[in-house]
Formats: sequence, structure tokens, C-alpha cells
Amino acid sequence: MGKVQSRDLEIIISGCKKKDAASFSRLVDAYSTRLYGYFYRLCGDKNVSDDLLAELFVKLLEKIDYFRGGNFDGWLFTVASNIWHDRLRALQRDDKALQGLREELELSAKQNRMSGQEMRMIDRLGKQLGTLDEESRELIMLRFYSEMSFKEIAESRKMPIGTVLSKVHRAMAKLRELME
Amino acid sequence: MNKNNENLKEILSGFYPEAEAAKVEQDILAGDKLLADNPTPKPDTELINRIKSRINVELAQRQRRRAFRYVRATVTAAAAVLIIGVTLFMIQPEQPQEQPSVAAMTSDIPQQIWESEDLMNDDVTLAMLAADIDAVEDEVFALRFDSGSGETINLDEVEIEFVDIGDDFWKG
Repeated sequence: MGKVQSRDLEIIISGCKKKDAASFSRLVDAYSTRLYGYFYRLCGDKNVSDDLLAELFVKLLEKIDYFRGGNFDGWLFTVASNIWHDRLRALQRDDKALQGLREELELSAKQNRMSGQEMRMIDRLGKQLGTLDEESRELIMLRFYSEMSFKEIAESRKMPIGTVLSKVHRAMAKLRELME
Repeated sequence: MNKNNENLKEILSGFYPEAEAAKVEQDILAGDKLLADNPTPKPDTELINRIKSRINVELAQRQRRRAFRYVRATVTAAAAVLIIGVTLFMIQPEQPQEQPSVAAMTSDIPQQIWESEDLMNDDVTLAMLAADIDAVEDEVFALRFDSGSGETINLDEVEIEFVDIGDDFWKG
């Protein structure tokens, strides 16, 4: 399903706020592809992307009440970004726990390090994206999948627009260079 | 305008010199194209169906929880009203009642007699007794001053009768 018209979107959001299952179903149809792409490009793992997408829509059952109008796509991807950051923190905790276990078992870091990005990036672009810093990668993905403007991204991330422009530009240039 | 609904050239011109802005724009657009040319996999239909059915289950559970909360709130409110009502009823101050005097409470004579403004009308027995006493008093008075009736009446007996009547009166 492509991008929904703003009038349809209003109806869908209104239905979702009334906890109407059919409206949520339409919301899933309208946004799942873009959100899935966003998660997939950030984590590079299909299973994790599946989990994150499901988690996002279940959280939306509550969170939708907090949407007070404005750019819904921007708002939705900000929720998605928060979910991704929560997951990242959990992964980092797991990594620490795994690290301790590894040291105990004296296994080589090479064999056992679940270096997330290396394991998860299955396509070439994904691998190159993995070489970018976390923040720049996310800014690029936010811009590409949420279709927010630089100004909206800057507002959403509480960053100066010049900083966003500069980070996205540097990351895009590097990506382009790596892919050539 | 691009799909991000912005004029990139215009935005960049505010941050970079003209030549550099063109280069930055070119890099960004090339990056966009790179991403567009390397699409990610789409979510499986099975995943989408699973998400939708999970949403349905969650919504049904929430509805049940909401209904339960509503019933619980209603029952709690009704119980609270009942408890408050009963409590108020129990602790409300008693209506001030006119307490009978100590004499009235401890006497065998009915309270209304004590409080009566017109004894003769309120208590027939008492009225008759009072009339008897008056009659006896008259008789005693007549004897004492020898009214000259000629009848011999034992004064002591009359006095004894008088005392008895008086006793009966106080016994009620």
C-alpha cells in the first residue's frame, strides 16, 4: 500500500484513537513497508526487524492517543526511533553479559563476538551502512523512510538543522564512496 | 520539491557557499538514489497477519479490562455510598427529646399528671379523690366548730379515714 492521502490518514488515526481494529489494520497496511525498511536498515536483521515492527504497532495501541496532530509520519518514525534505541540499549546490555560469559569460557572474540552489524548486514549497502556511525546512519534512514524534511528531522531530534545537514551530507558522501 | 517536501537547494544555500551547496546537494541526492536502488525486503504477509491478529487480541483484552474496571468502579462507588449512608445514620446525633424530670421518672404517678396544668380534667381518679378529701375536710371542720347537726361522729375515726385517703393518694 502506498502513501495514504491526508484525508484518509485523518480517518484512520481517528479510528485508531477509538481503538477500532479495522483502522489499525489499515495503519499497518499503510506504514509497515516503510517502517520495516527503516528497522531493517538500522539493524540489518530480518528477525529483529519483524520483532521491532510488531512491537511498534502494539505500542501504537496506547501511543496513538498522544498524537496531537501535525506531521503523523514524523511522529510515527520518532516512536519507531525510540523503540530502536530501546532495543539498542538492550542489545548492548546483552553484549556485555555475553562478553563476561565469553571471558569465562576463554573463547576467542573472533568466533563468539556477536558483532551485530557484521552478522546482520546481509546486503552490500547494509554492510556499508554498518560502517557509518550510529547517529548518522539513523539520520539518513529517518530522512529516507519517514520522508521528513531536514527541518522536521532537526526538530524531532532536537538538533540544529545545520548539524543535521552536515551529518547527513558527510554520511551520504561516505556511503557513495564506499559503494563505488 | 523532493519527496521530503523541501527545496534542498534553498536550504543548503543558507548554510554553504554556492559552489559547495551544489556539491552537497549532489551528494545527498546520490545517497537518496543509492538507497532507492537498494530496497530492503518487504515484511512477510505472515508477519503482517500476525501483527494484525495480535492487535485484535490486545484490543479485545483491553476492552475486557475496561469493562471489568467499569464494573469494579461502579460496585466500589455503590459500596462507598452505602457505607457512608450507614455510617451517617449510625453516628447522627440523637434528636433532642424532652427529658422527664427526676421526680416524674421516679414516681409511680404518670408523667402527664406531673406536667398537667389542670389536674381535675387530666385525672378523673385524682379528681374524685380530691373531692373526697375536700368532703372529709368539710366534715372535720364542721365537727371541730360544732356545726350543730346533732349527729355523734367519732372524730378519731374521721381523722383515721382522712389519713388513709391521704395515703392512698400518695400510693397512686
